[in-house]
Amino acid sequence: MLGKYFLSISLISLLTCSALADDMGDDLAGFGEEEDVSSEPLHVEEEKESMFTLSGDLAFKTNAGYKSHRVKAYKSDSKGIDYSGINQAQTSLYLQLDTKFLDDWKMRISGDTYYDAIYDINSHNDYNSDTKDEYRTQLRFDDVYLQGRLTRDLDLKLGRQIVVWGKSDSIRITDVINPLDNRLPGMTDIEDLRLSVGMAKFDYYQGDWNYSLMIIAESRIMLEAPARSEFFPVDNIFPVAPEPFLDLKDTATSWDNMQYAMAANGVFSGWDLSFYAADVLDQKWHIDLKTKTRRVSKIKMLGSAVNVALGSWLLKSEVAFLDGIKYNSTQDEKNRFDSLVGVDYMGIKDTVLSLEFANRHIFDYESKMSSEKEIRPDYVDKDEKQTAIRLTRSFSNETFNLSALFSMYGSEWQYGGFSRLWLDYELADALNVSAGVVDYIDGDKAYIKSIHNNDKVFLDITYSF
Amino acid sequence: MILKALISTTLIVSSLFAITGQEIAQKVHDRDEGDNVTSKMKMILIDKNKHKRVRMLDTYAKDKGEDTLKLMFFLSPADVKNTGFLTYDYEDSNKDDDQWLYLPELQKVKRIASSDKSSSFMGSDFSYSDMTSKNVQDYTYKIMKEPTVKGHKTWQMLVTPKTRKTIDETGYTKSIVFVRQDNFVIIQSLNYIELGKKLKYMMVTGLKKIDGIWTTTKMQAVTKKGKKTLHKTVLEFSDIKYNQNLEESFFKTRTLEVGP
Repeated sequence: MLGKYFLSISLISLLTCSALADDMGDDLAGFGEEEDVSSEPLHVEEEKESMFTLSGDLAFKTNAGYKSHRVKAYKSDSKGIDYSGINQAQTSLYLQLDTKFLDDWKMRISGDTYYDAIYDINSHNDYNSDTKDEYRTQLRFDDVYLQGRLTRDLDLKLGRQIVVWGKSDSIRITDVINPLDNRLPGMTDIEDLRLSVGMAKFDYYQGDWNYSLMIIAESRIMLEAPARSEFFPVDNIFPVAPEPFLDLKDTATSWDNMQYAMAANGVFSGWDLSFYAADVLDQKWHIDLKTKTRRVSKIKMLGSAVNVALGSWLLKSEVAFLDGIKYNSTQDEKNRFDSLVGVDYMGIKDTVLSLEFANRHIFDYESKMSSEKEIRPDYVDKDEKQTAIRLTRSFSNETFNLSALFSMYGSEWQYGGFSRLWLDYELADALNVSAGVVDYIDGDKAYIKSIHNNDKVFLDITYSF
Repeated sequence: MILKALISTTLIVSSLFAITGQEIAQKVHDRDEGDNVTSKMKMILIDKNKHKRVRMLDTYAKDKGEDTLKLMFFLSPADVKNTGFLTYDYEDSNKDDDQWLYLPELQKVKRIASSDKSSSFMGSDFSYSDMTSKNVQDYTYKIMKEPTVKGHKTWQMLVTPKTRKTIDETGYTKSIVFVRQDNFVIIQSLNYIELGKKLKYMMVTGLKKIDGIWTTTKMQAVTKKGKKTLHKTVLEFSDIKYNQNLEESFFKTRTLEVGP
């Protein structure tokens, strides 16, 4: 009986193996069809070691509004400028010079410049001078620093640089060190958002921990869309908007304005943990009644961030307590507690899905801070909620990368936000084309209401060298 | 170590042969692959229209007990230069690898949740799974025959994941590997990709002894659907050096941020 059983099993196995072998035999024939690709001549220049390396990007950027909307360039301007149609024809150049010396030291000098011809092409539009100054040309230094090892465990990075704090990707909670470029909100992705700032940064490494100390000497503040430009139609946002609108005053670089920051970052198997403390310039401005200008004041921040990898999930969380935030509608400085939870899911092939939820709670909140009737409104709730959903997926061996970002405000997304969908295409090595669409989603907030027709399609062509 | 990991997929029991598939798999796994290795890697991506894209990388690897520490930096093209990738490849299959990516555009080290390894490694036909070593115990191995491949006697073995988890992690439902009998190097493999029912052919096209260690200097992977070639990747290794002075502290996120 037992012998018969084994005979049956063997027969079934034999038949199965035979069918399987035939299929596999066909598949294995594929090896013979393949030529040895590596034997083909490949005219690729090898990277050569050099003391100096010059690299950069040459880019052309354009965008076009596809909804008719007009913005007053002057208070007395009854008609306004129509921002539908092409709004950008910008040629830009980014240059970066890197040099290595001794064994452990290097220096970087980088800067960028652009010229936007749209202001010549659309010369019939009576743009105000602030708009032309801000968007037509730019010439500036970006990262300019010296970096090296003072001892085996101690690094120094001295000069203009970017320091990224936190674990989140789309919503910034503890990332308070660098000022931001807010000139094209919704269109500037996070890699181009931060502005370098001059500091001395010391990093000490011990085991799984890194301790950072930053002494920030440069009082650089954010870049904002100019008043009465497409992204800051002040007459639709403020009940009373003077002409000219309140200046955004630079903060003087001085001993009094010296900024300090410290961080402890632990990197462990499966998780990371960071603690932060900072006495830095705020990343938002407020209206100063005494000087009748927009100013940026210093705030204090204590924060922490953690992420934990669990299978294909990366869980992220950040908290920050901010002290001394100034607003427009009240003279009292406020404290705020910001928190974020988020998750990245990487379990789908060539895809990353990221979800982040944040809440910003203002202590000693005053109802006038949300009132639209205030002469100097803030339009902020006691608890400001924000949701960000980001999806990236690559196709055809990363020749195409599709990205989508959806950022909304309010517990039920009632305050609006924006969504952006774009496709990056690698036309050739180091030659990329990016095309997409930005949709500003209307909501119950004056600012979003004022820009909700700014929807655009955009196209960027970048050659890197 | 990276070179081995690229081609390792593994291997069983057949009482009909003097050596079992499991034993072969173990010998492949245990083969001396050197330690403290540095090399330059040229990655050539070739699409179905034979259009080529080329990436150059610096690679570093070090053993830490049974585990492997790996670091890679892109040298070119310019738009990805200085992108870094750090991996702690754990031998224990129950423990997910630690992986971090440094993107110079963001100036930020980002942890990667690494359980699913079926995604393409930097646009190539190799997946993250192909870049990490496999646990011998996660598969069954069946010796199919002993063909001669490019003048070398091999064991042709059917390698089958034991669990759904392993299939999900690698994206492969099964593989056929060809192990050279004289040195236990896998010189070619056919991997059955679950998603899209594609086939991936991996072939070692350059193999030589460096410092007494059998070392892959060239290999290619071809993704096909049926008879149709979808994409190819060629990897060429040069400047391969063993026993370099690589300290454990080099394989930290600090190196990703400041560069090698």
